[in-house]
This record gives sequence, structure tokens and C-alpha cells, in this order.
Amino acid sequence: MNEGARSTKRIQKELADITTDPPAGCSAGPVGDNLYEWMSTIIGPDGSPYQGGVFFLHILFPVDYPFKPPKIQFKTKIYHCNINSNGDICLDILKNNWSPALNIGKVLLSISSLLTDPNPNDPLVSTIAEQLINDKEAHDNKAREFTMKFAK
Amino acid sequence: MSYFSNSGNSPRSKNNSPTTTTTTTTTTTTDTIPDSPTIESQSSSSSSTVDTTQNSNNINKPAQTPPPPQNSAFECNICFDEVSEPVVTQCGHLFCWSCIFQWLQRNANQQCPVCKSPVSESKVIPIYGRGGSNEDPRKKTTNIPQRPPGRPEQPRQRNRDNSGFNDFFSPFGMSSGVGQGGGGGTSFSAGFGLFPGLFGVHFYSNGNNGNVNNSGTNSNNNGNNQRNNLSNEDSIFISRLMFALGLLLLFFILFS
Repeated sequence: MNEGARSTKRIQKELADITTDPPAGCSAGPVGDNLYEWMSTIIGPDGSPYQGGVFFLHILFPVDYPFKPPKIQFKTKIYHCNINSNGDICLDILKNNWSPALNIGKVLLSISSLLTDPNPNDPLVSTIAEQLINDKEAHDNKAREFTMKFAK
Repeated sequence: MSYFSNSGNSPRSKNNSPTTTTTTTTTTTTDTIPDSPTIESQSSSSSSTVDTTQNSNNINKPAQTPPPPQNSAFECNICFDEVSEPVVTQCGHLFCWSCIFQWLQRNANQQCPVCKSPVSESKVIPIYGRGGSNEDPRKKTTNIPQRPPGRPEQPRQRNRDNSGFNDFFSPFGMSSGVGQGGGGGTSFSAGFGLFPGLFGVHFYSNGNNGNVNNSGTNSNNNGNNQRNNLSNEDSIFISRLMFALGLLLLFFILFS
């Protein structure tokens, strides 16, 4: 079985899984006919400054998936120290800690928990990380403001 | 003429230590297939006796068994499909050989995709089912080598946890060792003279030392276990038979 056929089959299985049993607060599915390009939504987790927001993400599966991680970007603007203005996410499992045993549902759950617990020790936007460490209240207010403005 | 030496672990001393007893009992119940219905009936008998009878009815009617889980336990952890050319890592995770091979080619850390423990190509264990692969071998990609062969263990090697290794050169007539490792097991040998292995008889039974609790009256650890083919009395009988045969042979050699 060549790589394309293998990844197609695996993505089809993941689509079936995530459709029948979606992870809490997440949904995902292909954009149009291209099985390798998905759109996903994550609902801002309760108790976080992102609560009440709906965040759109763009998912691009590589041809050699699952041996390579999917490329995931936030399409909704978000104020988060591990997500930059481009929507790029700094998450270890999407880079060197990727494992083919992971699936898109687990990845979306990890992103959702990154919204609950930002990691200022490995920031993508250092100014937001510094603010989170020094003045969490101001950080949360700003994040809430962004959520109301862009994710409603 | 014959005696047992239990390597300092007599059944009575095991009865006195609750920790050891619990561990060995658990091992037996999980490993012994015929025990499984007993476990079920034990768990249901705590509720009522009616439940127990219903349970036994269920065993007789396979149609009432619950449907298999949605996600099969025999799917590859990489392609999420039914495994083809299955291999299992030493950490116990199942993959298609081509899937884990490709992952190990790309992954510099050589880790298991599921648990991150170290994995090497040569140390994965192939699984040979009854049906074999239905795939046309010509359709297989040529850049993926053959699965590494299985590494069957010699029966004697299962004895490595026990003291049975010394049986052959033991000057004593008979010795038995009770393994303390996870697998557990009892080795038993009977023989005579300086080299009892010459006329001796060796038995090995694996994983049967769990019923120490139940066999308080038996000097042999294998007491009540159904899977044990040789009871204490049988062993003594066979050892005496072998002794008689050995003597006969000795007389034959001396007087012929």
C-alpha cells in the first residue's frame, strides 16, 4: 500500500471516529471534497478567559500522515502566549513529540487544554507570556476581550 | 529415598505472609483459563444466588454474550486498521510490520508510538495467527524487509528463575524449586547417585504455584490445581518406577 492510500484510509477512519464520537467541545470535518484539508471548531473551555468563544482551526494533513503531524492553525484571532497572530500553535505533540498513535481528536483535546492551561515557559509570544506571569488578571481581561471581539 | 527441598519456601511459610499469598493468587486467576468462569460466578454470587444461576445460563448461551467493542483490540496503532503482518513490541503494543518499520525509519528516538519506550526493529516479536496473511505478496512494497523471525525459547530456559538449573549435577536424589518471578513455576526432578540426571526424571510445571492457599495438607505446592498433570502421589510412583528400572539396568550391566 502506498503512502497516499494509507493516509487516505487512516484519515477516513479518523473522520468516522470524530463524527460518531466527537471529543467534548470540539468538532472537525473536511473542507469540501479534499479529505486532507479539514476545518475544526473548539469551544472556549469553561473557567478559562476563552469561555463563550468559538475558535476555528484549519487542519492540513500531510501525504505521509500519520508518520508526520498534521499542520494546525487557528483561524480565529486569540490572545494566548502559545499561539501567535498567524494562528500558529506552539505545542510539542504537533512538532517533535508527534506520535502516529495520536489522532486528531486527541490533538484537539490537547489544544483545548492548552487554552485552559497556557504554558508561559515555552512561549510563542513572549510579551503575552510575561504578562501572564506578572499580571494574570490583566492577561485574562485582555484574553476575554479578544474572545468577545473575535470569537463570538 | 526421595525428598523435596522447596528452596526455603514451604507452603506453610507462604501462608504466613499475606502479601505473597495475594500476589500468587492473582497470577493464577489471570493466567488460568479454566478459572475464568469461577471468577465470574464469584463476583456475581456476592449479589444473590439467582444471579449465579443466570450467569451459568449465560455461559451456555453464547447468543447472549455482549457484542464486541467498537474498536477492535487487534487494530494497528498506526494505521488504525486490522493488522497485517502483525508484530508486537516488547512493551506490548500491536502494529503492522510495515507501519512500525516505517515509523522507526523516520523516528530518530526509536520510540514506541503509544508509550514512548525504546523499540528496535530486531526486537519486535512477530505474531503468527492461524489464518495467515490474505495479501498478495507481490503487492507488498519491496523496500520493507521481512519481519524478524520469532525467537522460540527452549523449554529449559523457562526454568531460569528456579533453582532447577542445578538438578543435573545435584548429589541429592530429588530436588524441587519454586520460582519467585512473575511467571512462577515449579520444577521437580528425581534421580539417584552422583548424577541423578542419568536415571532421573524431570518434571516442570509452569504457573501452578498459585494455589498454595488451598493445599494446606499437601506437601507439594501443586496441590489442588486442575491443570497440574502430576499429583504428588503420581510423582512419587513414577520416581519409584524409574528407580526400579534404573536398578534393573544396573543389574543387567553388572551381570551380563
